[in-house]
Amino acid sequence: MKEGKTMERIQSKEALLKLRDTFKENLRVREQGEQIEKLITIKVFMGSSGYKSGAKEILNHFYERAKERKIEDLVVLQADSSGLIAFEPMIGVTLPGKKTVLFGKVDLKKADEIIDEYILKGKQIDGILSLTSSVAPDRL
Amino acid sequence: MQNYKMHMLVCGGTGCKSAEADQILVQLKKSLEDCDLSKDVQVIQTGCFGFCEKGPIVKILPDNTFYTQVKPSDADEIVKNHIMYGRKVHRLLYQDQTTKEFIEDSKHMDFYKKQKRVALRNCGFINPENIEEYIAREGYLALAECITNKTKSEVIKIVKDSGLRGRGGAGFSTGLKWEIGSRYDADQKYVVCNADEGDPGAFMDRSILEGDPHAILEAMAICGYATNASEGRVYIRAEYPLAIKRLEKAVKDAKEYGFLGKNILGTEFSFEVSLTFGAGAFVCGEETALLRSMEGGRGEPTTKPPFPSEHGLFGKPTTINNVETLANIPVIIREGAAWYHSMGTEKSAGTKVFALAGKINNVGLIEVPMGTTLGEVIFDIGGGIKNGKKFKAVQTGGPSGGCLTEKDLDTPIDFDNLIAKGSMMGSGGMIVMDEDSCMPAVAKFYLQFTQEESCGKCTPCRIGTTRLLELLELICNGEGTMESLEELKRLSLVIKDTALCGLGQTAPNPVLSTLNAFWDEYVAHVVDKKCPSGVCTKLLDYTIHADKCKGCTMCFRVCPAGAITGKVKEVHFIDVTKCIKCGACMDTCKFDAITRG
Ligand SMILES: Cc1cc2nc3c(=O)[nH]c(=O)nc-3n(C[C@H](O)[C@H](O)[C@H](O)COP(=O)(O)O)c2cc1C
Ligand code: SF4
Ligand code: SF4
Ligand code: SF4
Ligand code: FES
Repeated sequence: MKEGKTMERIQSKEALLKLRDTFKENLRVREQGEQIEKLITIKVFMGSSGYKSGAKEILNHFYERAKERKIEDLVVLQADSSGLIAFEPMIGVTLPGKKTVLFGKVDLKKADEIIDEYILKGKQIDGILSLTSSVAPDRL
Repeated sequence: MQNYKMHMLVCGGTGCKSAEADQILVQLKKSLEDCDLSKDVQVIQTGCFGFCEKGPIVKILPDNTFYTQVKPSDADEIVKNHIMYGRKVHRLLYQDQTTKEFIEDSKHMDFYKKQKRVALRNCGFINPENIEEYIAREGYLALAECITNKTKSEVIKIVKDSGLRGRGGAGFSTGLKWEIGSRYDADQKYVVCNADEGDPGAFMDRSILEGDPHAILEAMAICGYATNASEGRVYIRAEYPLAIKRLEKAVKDAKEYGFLGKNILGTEFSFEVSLTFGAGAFVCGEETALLRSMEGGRGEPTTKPPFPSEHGLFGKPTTINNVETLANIPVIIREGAAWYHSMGTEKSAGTKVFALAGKINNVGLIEVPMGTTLGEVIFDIGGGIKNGKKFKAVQTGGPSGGCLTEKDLDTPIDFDNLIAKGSMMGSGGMIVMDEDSCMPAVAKFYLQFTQEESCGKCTPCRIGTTRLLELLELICNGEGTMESLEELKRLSLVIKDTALCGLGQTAPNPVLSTLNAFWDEYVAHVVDKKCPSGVCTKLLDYTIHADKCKGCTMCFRVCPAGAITGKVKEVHFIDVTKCIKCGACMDTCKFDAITRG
C-alpha cells in the first residue's frame, strides 16, 4: 500500500477476490519458482559470451512474448554460458517431465517459432541441437 | 502491474537481521541501481527461511538460487554475475555436507526435501509488512468465506474434522475447544493468542509472527466469528520487538482494508485485535497465569476448572490458542478438513514446526508432516550431528519434555508416540545431544531453568524443584550416593502428582527420562565417581602416560595449580590432590601424553 493513501474498506468477498487477482500478478515470478518442475522453462545461456552474441535481446524477447501470449506456465530463466560459444545465442527448452531440448543460433524469428510452434502447438521444428553427452553442457 | 523478471528475497528474520541483513538489502538495491537493473529485479525482505545457521540468506527466484552467509559486500558480485550474466556465485551456494556438491536449486537441498510447509507457507516467501502480498496468497479469503458463506457451527465442524490439535503443548483438539467456547453466552467474549513462547531455544512462534503476521490476525478473527467473540488479544513477550512491530503494522493495515474493525466485509461481524506485552516469565505461557498477567495481576496460575472457555479474561469466556495452531486455521478453511487430515498420522493430523538446536548441523526451523521419524528429522533434514560425532539423545518438549535415544530414532513423531516414549511434543523445541553430553548435567540444566521460573505459588514445585536441583548438583559433583538416585526418583514422582500447574507437573520429566534411559551414567557418577562423558569437572582425573611423555615441561609451565612435577626429558606426574581439573595441561601437550577420564 502506498504510504499516506487510505484504502477503501473492502465490502465483499468478490471485491477481495478481484484484489487478490491483481496482487497475484506481482507474486507470479515467486510462485513460478515454487513450482518450477511443473512448468515449461526456457533457459537462455548467457555469460559474457552469450551476452555478446545477443542473448540478452533473445531473453527479453522471450519475456515479452510470454507476456503477450499470456502463457502462464512458462518461466524464462537465464544461465551461465553453455561453453559452446559457436552456437550462441543458445537456449534450452524443458517441457514438464521431459528432457531438455537445445536450440543454437537463436534469432528473434526462431524465438517466435519456438514459442508459437514448438511450445504452444507442440510441433516438431528445425534447429534442435543434438549433442553427444560429452559436449552437452552439464547445467541443463 | 509490475514487470519484474526476477525477485530477490532477503531474509529479515531476527537471526539474519542480527547479521547485517538490512545492509545486504540496501547494497543489493544500490548495485541494481548502478547496473540499471532496478526495473527488472524486485528486492524484498521476508521472514525466516528456517536455515538460520547459515544466514543471512538471499534467495533468488524464479531459479530458486539459495545463497547462504551473504555479506553486504557480496551484493555487487551477485548482481554483476547472477543478474547480469546468469552466472551463479558458487562460493555462496549451499554446499551439501556429504557430497560436497554446491546446490544450485534450493528444492534439491536435503534440508527442504522432506519438509512440508503449511504453518510456515508464507515465511521466507512474502514481505510480511505488505498486506498486498498476503492477499495475493489467498489471504483473508478464509475469513471472507466464513463470515459470508458459513455458519458458526460449520466453521467449528471444519476445524474439528481437520483433526488439528493445539500446538502450544497440551495437544487438545482445537475444534472442540472452539465448540466449548461457543457455548457460553456473555456480553463480552475474547479470543487470546498465546505468543509467550518461553522454552529455551524455541523460536517457532516468533518466526511465524515475524514472517506471516496476517495469518494470525485472520485466524483470530475466524475464531472470533466461530465463538462469538468480538475482541482479540495477542499476549506477546516484549523481547520480540520485530514480531511486535510487524504485528502492529499488520493490525493497522488489516483495519484499513476492513478485515478487522466494525462490520467486516460489509457483514454484521465486528472484531478488534490488540496486543499485550509480557515480561517474559516462562510460567506466563500457562494459560491461566497468562490471563492473570493480561488483567494486570501477578502471572500466577489458578486452578482449573473453571477453564478459560467459561471463565477467562476478566471473568469472560475466552478461547486461547497458540500462534502455530492459529497459523494453520486459514489454510484448513480454504483447503478443507479432509485435506488437512490427509497429512500426518491418524490421531495427530497435519504438520508440526520444530526448532532444531544443539549439536546438530542444520540448526534452524523446520516443518514436517506428523509421523515423520525422529531419525529423518535429525539426520536427513538436520544434516546429522556436528563434527561427525555420535548421536546420543534428543530432548523434545523443552524443559517439560524428556530425552529420547538411539532406539527411538524410528519413532514416528506425534503427540501420543512421544508421550508413550516418556517425552512430549511440547511446543516443538528439539535439542540434540552428542556423545560428549553428560545426561545428569543435561537434567541439571533443565532443572535450573524450571527452578528459576517456578512462580512459587505451590510448595511441591517451589521446594521440590529446588531439592531436585540440589540432588543433581550433588550427583554431578561426585558427592551423591545410590540413595540420592532413589530420592531423585521418588521426589520427581511426588512433584508430578502434586504440583498445581503444568510447569511443576512436567518439571521432573527431564530427570525421570534421563534416569530411565541413562541409569548407568547416573550410577557412574555416584558409585565410580566418574563422568563418562567428561563433562562434570569435579569428577575428572587427568593422567600423564609414562610411555608417551617426552618430558618437554610444557604442562608443568601451564598448570595454574602447581600440580605437575617432573624434570626436563623425564616423565612428569600430576598430583591429583592439587589438580583443579582445568584441562590446560591436556590442551598443551603436543604428544597426547595426557588423558582425561
Ligand atoms: C509452564 C507452561 C508454559 C506454557 N507456555 C506456553 C507458551 O509459551 N505458548 C503456548 O502457546 N502455550 C504454552 N503453554 C500451554 C498453554 O497453557 C495452553 O495450553 C495453550 O496456549 C493453548 O493453546 P493451544 O491449544 O493452541 O495449544 C504453557 C503451559 C505451561 C504449563
Ligand atoms: S507448579 Fe510451579 S509454576 Fe505452577 S503454580 Fe505451582 S509453583 Fe507456580
Ligand atoms: S607436555 Fe606432555 S610430553 Fe611434555 S612433559 Fe607434559 S605430559 Fe610430558
Ligand atoms: S588439569 Fe589443570 S590443574 Fe590439573 S594438572 Fe592439568 S593444568 Fe594442572
Ligand atoms: S532468520 Fe534468516 S533464515 Fe532464520
